[in-house]
Amino acid sequence: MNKTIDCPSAQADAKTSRIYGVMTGPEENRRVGYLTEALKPTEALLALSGEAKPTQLFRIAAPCSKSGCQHFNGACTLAQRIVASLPEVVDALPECQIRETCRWFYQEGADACLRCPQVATDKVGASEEEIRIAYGDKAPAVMQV
Amino acid sequence: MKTSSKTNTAIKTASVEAPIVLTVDQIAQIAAGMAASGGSHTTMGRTPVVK
Repeated sequence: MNKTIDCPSAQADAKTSRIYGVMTGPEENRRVGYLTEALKPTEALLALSGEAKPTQLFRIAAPCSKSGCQHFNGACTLAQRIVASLPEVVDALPECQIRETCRWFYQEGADACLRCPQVATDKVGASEEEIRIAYGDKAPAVMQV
Repeated sequence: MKTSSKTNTAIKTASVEAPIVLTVDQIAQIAAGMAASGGSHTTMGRTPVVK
């Protein structure tokens, strides 16, 4: 029986997703605060984001879409770009509630976990490097040189 | 998650150092800062294939 693998940077879906982190800290140094218990994305929780998107505030896990996702080519290329391009920001594995089923951990191991806390699913005002990591060769045309 | 009243509702988070507790008000403050940020929008996460 195949184990469900979760995308650790998904949008909220009431049926299949779980909130497992909250972005904390100052804007220039945001980090994921990993919840001690993953939570259902109820309307009340999602409403905490106010005018921001819930995925600016929360890290949400949901089943990996595999070929239904632009980042998947047999492996998650987003996870590959994150590990290849972002620095480690913690020196020990965060106490993460979804590691057991996480696509990024399943594929990249601890290298992903040591970089994960700096990743916001949705971000406003991302740097060019963050945009390149986010979209790879599918980066918006305006960003391509 | 412990719930007693709206303003005291707390979500426990765990870091590699020690757990912290964020109140709803603190989370809302973080979110308000995000909403006020300017610039282009980027998604670093699951992205459906558009056909």
